[in-house]
Amino acid sequence: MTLNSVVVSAMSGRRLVSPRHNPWPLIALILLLLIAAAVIATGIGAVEIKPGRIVFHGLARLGLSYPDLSDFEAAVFFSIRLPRTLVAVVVGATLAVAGVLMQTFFRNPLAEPSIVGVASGGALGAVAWIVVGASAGIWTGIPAQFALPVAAFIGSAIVCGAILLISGDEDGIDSTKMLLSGIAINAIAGAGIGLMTFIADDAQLRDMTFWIMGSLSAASWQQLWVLAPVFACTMAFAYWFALPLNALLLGDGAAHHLGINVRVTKLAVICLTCLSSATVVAMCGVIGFVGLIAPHAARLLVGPDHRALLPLSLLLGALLMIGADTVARVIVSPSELPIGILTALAGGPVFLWLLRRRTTHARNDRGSNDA
Amino acid sequence: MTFRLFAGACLMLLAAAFPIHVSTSAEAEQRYIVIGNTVAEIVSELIPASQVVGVGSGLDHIEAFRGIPVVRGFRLTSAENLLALRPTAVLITERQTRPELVVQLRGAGVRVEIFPDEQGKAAVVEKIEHLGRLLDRQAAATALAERFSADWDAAIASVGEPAVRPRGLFILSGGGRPTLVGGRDTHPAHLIELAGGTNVVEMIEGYKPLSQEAMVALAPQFIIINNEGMTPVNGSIAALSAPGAMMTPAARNGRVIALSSGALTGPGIMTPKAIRELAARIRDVAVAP
Amino acid sequence: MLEAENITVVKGGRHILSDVSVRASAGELVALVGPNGAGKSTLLSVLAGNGHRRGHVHWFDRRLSGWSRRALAQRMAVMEQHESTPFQFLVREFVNLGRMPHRRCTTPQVDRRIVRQAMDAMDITCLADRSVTTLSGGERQRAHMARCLAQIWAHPDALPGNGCALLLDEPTSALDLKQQSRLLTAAWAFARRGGCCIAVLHDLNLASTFADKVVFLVDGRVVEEGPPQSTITGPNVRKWYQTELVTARRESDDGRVLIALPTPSHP
Repeated sequence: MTLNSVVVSAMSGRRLVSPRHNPWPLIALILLLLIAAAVIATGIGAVEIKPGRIVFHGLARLGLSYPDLSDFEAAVFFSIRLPRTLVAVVVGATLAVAGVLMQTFFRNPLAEPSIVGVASGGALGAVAWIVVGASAGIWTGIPAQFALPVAAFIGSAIVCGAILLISGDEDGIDSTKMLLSGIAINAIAGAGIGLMTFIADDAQLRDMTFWIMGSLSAASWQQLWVLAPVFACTMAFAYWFALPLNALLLGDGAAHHLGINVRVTKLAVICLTCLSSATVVAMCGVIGFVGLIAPHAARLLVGPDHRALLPLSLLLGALLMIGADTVARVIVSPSELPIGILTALAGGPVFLWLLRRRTTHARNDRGSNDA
Repeated sequence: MTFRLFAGACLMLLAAAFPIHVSTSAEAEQRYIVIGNTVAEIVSELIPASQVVGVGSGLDHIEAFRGIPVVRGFRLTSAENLLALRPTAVLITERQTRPELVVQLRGAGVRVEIFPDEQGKAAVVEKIEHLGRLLDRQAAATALAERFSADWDAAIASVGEPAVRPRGLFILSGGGRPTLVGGRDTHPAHLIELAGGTNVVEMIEGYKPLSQEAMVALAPQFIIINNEGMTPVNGSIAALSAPGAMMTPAARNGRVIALSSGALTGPGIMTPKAIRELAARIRDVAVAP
Repeated sequence: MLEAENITVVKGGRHILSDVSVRASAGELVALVGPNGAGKSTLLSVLAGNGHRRGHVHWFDRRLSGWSRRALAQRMAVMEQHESTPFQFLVREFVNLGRMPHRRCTTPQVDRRIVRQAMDAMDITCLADRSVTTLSGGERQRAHMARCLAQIWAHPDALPGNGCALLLDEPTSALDLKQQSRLLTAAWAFARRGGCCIAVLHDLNLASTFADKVVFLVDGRVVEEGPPQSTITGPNVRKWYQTELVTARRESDDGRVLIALPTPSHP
């Protein structure tokens, strides 16, 4: 199963036989790859820690003693590197799962979590906090480092409530309405952010700009204590709904006739997506394209069955984030690039390629229909 | 209906033919709009506040200008806002301008003077003298320039040639988002150098994010923040609680220096005072890091 | 097996269905025919348990509301119009989706056998590893039909029949003559084995050939109900379709063949 054969069969529209029959060996392989990447990533950074010593640090924590390890190295490794790598894994996985859910909900392989406007709502919340909130004197009770994430989360929550209100009707959630309301909300949030840009001063402007572009630089164990449970919750529920999600791919009507509670399933999908998306945006800013690319790549390998798609997507998402974050940390050291730039730089062209492929496929399908 | 159209068209033609013109006779009362910290500080020393009809934002620390209408908006999106105050001249720093804005203002007959943002004592002296000529207060300007020059030299002398230059860092914001620090072309960086320290992020230009790990690797001995950031809601305090910042010698020893925003923008006539203040704090660090 | 009484559906102030009653028993293939806008698809939707309506629907001697979604789905499969998915399921996986209502009481081996047999029944075994997005219209219809069969397939060794229902909404729209006949033959065989099949058909010829009972819907009302010979007649067709009906004799089995000729309006 070489990369070349993957690409060739992807182009021809026929699936590779083996991962579709049994996806678990592939998933295990990607998991090993992820673990290796994570270990390598923890060895890379501004402070020099030789790769082998990471293992020693890990063992030292477990109780074995190695006298020549410096406390300083250990501190850097455990307070900065390790949580950052873990946050990258969790964020990548969360975004990927949210991406799968969105693509299923809208029955469109080109959908992304930001499509419903949750990310821009969060961005508006954070930006409003940076520009206006800080001087407004509210939030005196909340510790400074939590204030911004909380503000962003509130922004996302408001958007979530709004879209559910707008697109919910007696028959459940209307996907078209949700898509259109997402467009409107993205526009409104964009206008709000523009307004903030206008009234911001120099320092706030810089602050805002770098936050919006997305970054894992504030990664810490505290962030992980929030991100990890949210991810676990999202993944658990998504997997539980795996078969209903498969049915949803056929259409609301067909899913209903297969005995699925379409209303509950769709509501669950939206709530999970909003929750996970909002949490990631609150912690790390707006990171795009991971939720588009990871599920898509996974679908190319194992097909649209969610029982295999969800695990593989999350692994690929995590892998993508680790790669992007390592590059972001290293390429302009000691400064760092906002990770949103990298995911967009990588993801944008891939998205266009996917779009192009879809059009050619549609043309081929139509051609065979006439035959 | 057609009469109205005709009348409207005539009016429009008239308006186009006669652009708004503001008289700039030297004897008529001068009305200035001042935008930019460094320029405003000098102007407040040279002319009475009554001649200033509008100021930019962020000038709260200049007492003389309290109560004067503030023109908001970064980069000042509309010339009309400025023109509404009927200025005779606009004094503005380079960073705050846009070429189109300048063209519009000049087209309306308003004089626009742009002051470059340069570092160093000579730049400030040049600015004072330029303003003196513009505002027709050469004598006062020369006196101010001399006072400033002496002040600056005294401040530099008091710093001397320290044997040890402690390593420092200016944090603009952070906490839940990338920590922005002051690189080599920023005023805080210059301030650190002038006050006898070393800027650890010399390799970065402008205000850029610094990774937590790099901050640990660079190990600054003192950290400067804006003292408006001392309130819990601002990002600077939050930046100090990030994992990397907490591991720096500066945080461990409590060497966090808060300066006013007036001191942190510059260089201007407040800068010598800032140099002295910072130098005193840095000397403490050199003695007992 | 099916008893629907006094079904009324109002949408946007318009009566889509007014007081419609339909009955179908085991072993019957019921065709719903009628001009466009008569409400045939809506009626099928209502019978399938979708949509809001006034009136009663009883399936297998139980009210519709008394059936759990999954239990009903184990015995009744619905094939809707215009179903397509942009996702690249293999045909094999696609047909397997039909097994979903049985997920708690079946094993993967049983599912595999049933899927294979369903694909055999619809003659798409050769397409098993193709992606559904690459199928032609006719092949896709057959895949849908196979999925529906798999859904109501109770035991791997017995074709679905007694105790099950199949609801088809214009199942032959994309098919050529040969495929149309094959699909409806499969539906007819299903009915012969004791199943109940209700199909919305546009083609009067097909309705007359395959159906045991024809329900003629016009403007939301049942205007005729009975065997094809008595419902699809010249006067009815002229009245409701403004079209002439020509009857011919089929050579192979002496059956009736209908050809409807639309009358062009003269200037």
